[in-house]
Amino acid sequence: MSSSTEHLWRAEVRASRRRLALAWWLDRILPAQAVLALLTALAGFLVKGMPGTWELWNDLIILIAASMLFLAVLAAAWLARRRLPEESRLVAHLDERLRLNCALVSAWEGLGPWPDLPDRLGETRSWDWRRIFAPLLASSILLAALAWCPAKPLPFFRGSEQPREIPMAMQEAQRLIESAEAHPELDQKAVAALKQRTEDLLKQPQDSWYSDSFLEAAENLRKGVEAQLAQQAAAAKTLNQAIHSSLEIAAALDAMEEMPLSPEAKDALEKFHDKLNASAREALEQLASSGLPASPELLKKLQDLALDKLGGEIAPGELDALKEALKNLADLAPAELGVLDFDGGDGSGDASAWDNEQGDLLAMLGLKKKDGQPGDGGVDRGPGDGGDPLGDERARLKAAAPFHLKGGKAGQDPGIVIKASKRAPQVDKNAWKGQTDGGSAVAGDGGSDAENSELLPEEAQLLKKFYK
Amino acid sequence: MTAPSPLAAPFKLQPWMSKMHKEVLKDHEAREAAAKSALLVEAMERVLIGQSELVKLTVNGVLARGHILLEGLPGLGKTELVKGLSKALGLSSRRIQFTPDLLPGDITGTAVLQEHEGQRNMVFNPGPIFANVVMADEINRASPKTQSAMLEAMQEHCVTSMGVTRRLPEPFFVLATQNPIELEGTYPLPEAQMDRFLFKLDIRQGGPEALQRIVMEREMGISPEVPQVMNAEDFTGLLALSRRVHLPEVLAAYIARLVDASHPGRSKAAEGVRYGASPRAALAFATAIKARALMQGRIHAGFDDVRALAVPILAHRILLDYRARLEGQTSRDIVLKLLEEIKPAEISSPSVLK
Repeated sequence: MSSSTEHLWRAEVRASRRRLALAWWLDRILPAQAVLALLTALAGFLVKGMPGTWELWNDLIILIAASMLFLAVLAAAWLARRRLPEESRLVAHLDERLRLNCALVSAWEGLGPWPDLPDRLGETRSWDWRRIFAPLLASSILLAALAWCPAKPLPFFRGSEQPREIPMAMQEAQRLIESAEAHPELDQKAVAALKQRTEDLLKQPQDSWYSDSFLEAAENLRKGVEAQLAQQAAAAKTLNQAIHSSLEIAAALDAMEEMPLSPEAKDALEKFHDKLNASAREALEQLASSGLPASPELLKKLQDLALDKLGGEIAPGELDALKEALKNLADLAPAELGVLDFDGGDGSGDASAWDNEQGDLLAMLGLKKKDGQPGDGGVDRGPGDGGDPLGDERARLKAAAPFHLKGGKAGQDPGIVIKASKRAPQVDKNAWKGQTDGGSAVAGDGGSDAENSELLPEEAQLLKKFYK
Repeated sequence: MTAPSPLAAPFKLQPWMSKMHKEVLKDHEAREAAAKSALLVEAMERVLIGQSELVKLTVNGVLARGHILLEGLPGLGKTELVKGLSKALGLSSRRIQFTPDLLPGDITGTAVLQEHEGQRNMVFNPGPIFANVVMADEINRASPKTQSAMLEAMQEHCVTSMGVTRRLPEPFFVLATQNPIELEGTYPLPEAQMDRFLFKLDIRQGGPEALQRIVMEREMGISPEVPQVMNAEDFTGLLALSRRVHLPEVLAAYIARLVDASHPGRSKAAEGVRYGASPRAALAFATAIKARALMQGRIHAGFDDVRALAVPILAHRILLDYRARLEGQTSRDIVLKLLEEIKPAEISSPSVLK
């Protein structure tokens, strides 16, 4: 009886000691882990709030927190061991709590019988679960909040850092898109989509703005916008030239409506007309299918004009509006791409070919001398008003009635051909190709300073050839 | 701020303590002693009706070989208590009525010139203090000089007269009384003398039931019959057994912490204390709780013994300052606060345990 009671008492004392050791360890580690969790969360939030640092510090923070927790566990164990009372003191404490009046103490010292184990032995000390779980819960909430919170630069850090300059390519792309936004001739939905692309790119951290990938993307964007604008400008120019040529041919045919056409002339006229139509369709398709397409309204008007009304009847205001729209589209192209020469009509490349073909056709119809044939030696119109072959045009304009277009600039006074200017005429001063003694072999580009805008294409061509 | 007590440190078993454990009381001895004590208490309760707790404390004090100071109004049976005790124990007793003109020699005895066979010699005539149980009635009415004559007798159990020291009969107890009223012309006992009393017991009047018993069982002028329950030898044996009661280390540490905490600045409870209890109080504690354990048939003293005897042992040893007295505090209040503050076998407890 006595030995079993002693065994039970000793087991109880050992259990109490273990429980007390665990309690002391928890008492030390719980605040420490809560503080650690708080510090980790603060550091985490801080790093997440700093732009572009979370990826770098993420693993390090976790490693440091884990190391600190490990050290805290060891330190708590050491502190708990220090706070653990001696066994005799624990026995005395148990004796007092159980109101044994030192019976247990005396028995533990071997000086008396072991007291009976009371029924409420296990209830002497109970765990305070609230104190145990509250710090754990707080730590869990903090760490969960850290894991859940997205890495987003805080206003504090955003305000403190120097704003980065947007890369040049992106600036250029933005400028082009802004200019596109100012032009209702373009489909604004497509413009908005392009703008959104630039904004998406700029949402990347500023530190990455000058990374290779970002610069490449910006450059691609810029080139794409430029190319699309150039394509639109070229298409607009082509379309304009097609309309212009068509109108001139139509005007010429109107002028000679009584004269019979030779079979070759008719054939050449049809071919030229087909070519014009094809060219206009292609330009229209380009306008519609580009990454920056023309606005649907403009496309519809151009389609009606180019496919149905080419050479037909059109209100003069409508035609001017269309030409203005096409000119605006052509103006969108960056100057360095060389497609801005909208009104010149005698630029390089296809435009010259167009003019040549048109000149050839007019010559075949007998309305113009062919190149290389002896000319009239000057302007073939005499002084004074030659009269309007289509009647009183001003009256028709006022009445806004449809009228037959004639060649040249519609509505322009045919008497005004060249403006007076102090500048030198469009003459290629270096046209002579011969080598002079000690002279330069470089030929000039010729007549770049001429006021082409005031000349009709064929007149500019003629003038150029005259001074050759 | 209360300075941490050095006695709060873990108590280590010392070699001299182990020696004390060798002659520990046996269970049967404790039971026999408890039975004898119960007889004594029972006999005393016949004298002092309705004052069971006072009787037990008195027997406790006697078994602890201590002197007891009884304080109470006249007519509560203090003298009868002393008489009854001496009768029950079969010991000699004397009663000394202290008055302002009482001289030390009146207590200790005087030498008188006597002629014997033609020779004149100074012969010592023992005073009333030469008895086993001395009743010092209204001790505060004597002059300090006379009171101090009691000091040596109470502490050393001997008196010195004419250069000759004479031992008092053993066992020797002083049961002094003190009247809390009619204080004019009295001499309050000095602290040194108060410290020599093991207990100071307040005698209060019993309730109507006790009074009814007194009326029914007593007659004016006739002392109650008190049986002798043991002789001097039995009583001395009880005193010896009392010494062998085991005093656990943690209990000694508790006593030490309590006494230490009674000093100003050593505990919150001691605020308002001018002088705390002396080491003699700790010794008194140890002796008294052993006697109490013996009375209850235990071979070891316990925390309950300390709690039960704290007020009788400590209250008259703690001197309050002026402010505390103005606030109406008493030494008894301080002791109760000390018991509340100083926990036995206290260990620091983690917050996660309730």
